[in-house]
Amino acid sequence: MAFESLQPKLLLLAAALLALFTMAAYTVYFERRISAWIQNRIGPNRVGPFGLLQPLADVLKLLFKEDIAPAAADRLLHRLAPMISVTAAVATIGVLPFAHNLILADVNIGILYILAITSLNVYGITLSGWASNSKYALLGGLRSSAQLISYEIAMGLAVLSVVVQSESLMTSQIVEAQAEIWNVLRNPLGFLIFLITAFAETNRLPFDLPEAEQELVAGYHTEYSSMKFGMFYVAEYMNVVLSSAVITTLFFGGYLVPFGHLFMSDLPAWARTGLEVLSFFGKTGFFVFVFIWVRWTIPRFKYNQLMRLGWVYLFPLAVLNLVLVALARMLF
Amino acid sequence: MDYYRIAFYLFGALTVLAAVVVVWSRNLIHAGMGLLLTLFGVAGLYALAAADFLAVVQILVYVGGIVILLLFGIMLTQRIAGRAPRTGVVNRTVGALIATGLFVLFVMVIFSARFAELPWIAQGRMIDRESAPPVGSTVERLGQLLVGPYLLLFEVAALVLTVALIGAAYLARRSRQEGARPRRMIS
Repeated sequence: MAFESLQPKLLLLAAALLALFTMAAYTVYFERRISAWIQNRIGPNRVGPFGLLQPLADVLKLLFKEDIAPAAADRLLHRLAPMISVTAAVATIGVLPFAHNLILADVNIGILYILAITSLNVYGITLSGWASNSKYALLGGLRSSAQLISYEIAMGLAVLSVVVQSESLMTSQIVEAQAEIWNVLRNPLGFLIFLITAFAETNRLPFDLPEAEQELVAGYHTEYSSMKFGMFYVAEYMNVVLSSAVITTLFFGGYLVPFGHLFMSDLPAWARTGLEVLSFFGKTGFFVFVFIWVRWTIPRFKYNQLMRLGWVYLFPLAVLNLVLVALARMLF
Repeated sequence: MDYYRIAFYLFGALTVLAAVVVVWSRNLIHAGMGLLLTLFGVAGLYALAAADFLAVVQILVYVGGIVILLLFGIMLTQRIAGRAPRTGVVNRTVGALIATGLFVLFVMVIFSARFAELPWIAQGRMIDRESAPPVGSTVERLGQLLVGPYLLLFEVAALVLTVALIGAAYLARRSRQEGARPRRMIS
C-alpha cells in the first residue's frame, strides 16, 4: 500500500480528531452553562464572549497543576490507566460514517468493532481504581466494572436488534437501511434500551455510582491530579459525544438529512456532503444535550437498584425485543 | 517493506513480549495486563489474516470479558485478604523438564505438519495483495456454516455454556444462603 493512497484518510482522521476533541471540550462548557441554566445560576461567563474560551482556560490550568501520585501507588498502571481511557474513547471514531462515503474505515464488522472498543473502557477505570491504592478509588473501580459488564449485555442485544433490521454489521449500511424510515420508529424499544445502557456505560447520572461523591469522594479518579485527571475528564466527555454519535448512527438515520430525498438529488456533491455532515453533527449535538439534561434532572440510583434494573428488567426486555424484531422481520 | 509486513511484525512482537511479561512478572495484576496485550496482539494478527470477525470476537470475548474478570478476581482477593498471593518459583527441575519437553513437541509438530504445503495455505499465497479483489466479509459465510452443516456443534457449545452458567448461579446462591443465616440470629 502506498503512502499517497492513505493521505485522504489521514486528513479525514486529523479532521475527525480535531472535531472530537473540540466537541468534548465544548461539551464541558455547555454542561456547565446548561446546568447553571437548569439550576437558575449564571455559570462560567467571564473568559471570552459568553465564557466561550473557558475550555482553553481549564486545560491550561490543568497543565500547570502539580502532578501528584500517591506514594504507595503502582506507578506504571497509575500512569497507564488514563491513557487507556482516552485511547478506548478515541478509537471509536474509526467506523463512524460522517457522510456518504466519508468514513475512516468502512469495515464489515463496524458495529461489533464499536462494542469491542467500548468494552476496553472498563480497563482504564478498573486499573486506575486499583493502582491508586486507595479504598475509595478501588471501590469506585470495582463498582464501575460490575456496572459496565452488566449493562454491556443489554446494550449488545439492543445493537443486535438493529443489525437484524438492517441485515448488516457495516455502520454505513446500517445508516443507508434507514433511508425510508429511521430505526427509532421501527424499533422504539431497542432505542430505549440502548439509550439507558449508554447512560450506564458512560458513567453518567443517574448511573454515576463509580464516582458517587457523597460516598466515594470522586471514585476511581480520587487520587489523580493535573493532566492525568484531565485525561479522565476528557475521556468521559468524549464518551458522551461518541455515545451520542452511535445513537444517531444506529437509530436516527446517521448522516441522512431528514426529508433529504425531496431536494438532495438536485444539489451539487459538495453541498450534499456538507449537509450530511451538518445533519450528523446536529443530531449528535442534540443527544449530547439530552445527556446533560438528564444528568441535571434525575437523581442517582442505589447500587442494588442499578443491578436489578440491569439484570431483572433490561436484560429480559432486550431479549424480548430481539425476538419481536426478528419475528417482524420474518413476517413482513 | 510494506505496511502489512510492518504491522505483522509489530503485532507479533507485541504478542510474544507480552507473553514473556505474563510468565515472568511477580505482580499478578501486571501479569494480567500482559495477558491482555498478548490477546490483543493475537487479535491484530487475525485482522491481518483477513479474519475480521474472529479478530473482533477475540477482543470482545477475551480482552473485554475474560481478562477483566480475571483482574476482578485478583483485585478482590489480593488486598482484601491482607496477604500477597504466592507468586514464587517452585519445582524448578520438573517445571523445566515439562516446559522443554512441550517446546520440543510443539516444534516437531509444526515442522512435520508442512503448513506451506496445505492446500488452503498454498492457494492463499498465490493471491497478490495489490491486484486481488478486496476480501469479502467472513461474517455471512460463518453464519451460514454455523446454522447449516455445523448446527449440532453450535448447539452443543451453547448447551455447555448454559450448564456452566447454571452451575455458577447455583454455587453463588448456596453461599449467599449460608451467609444470611448468622445475620438472622443477630437480629
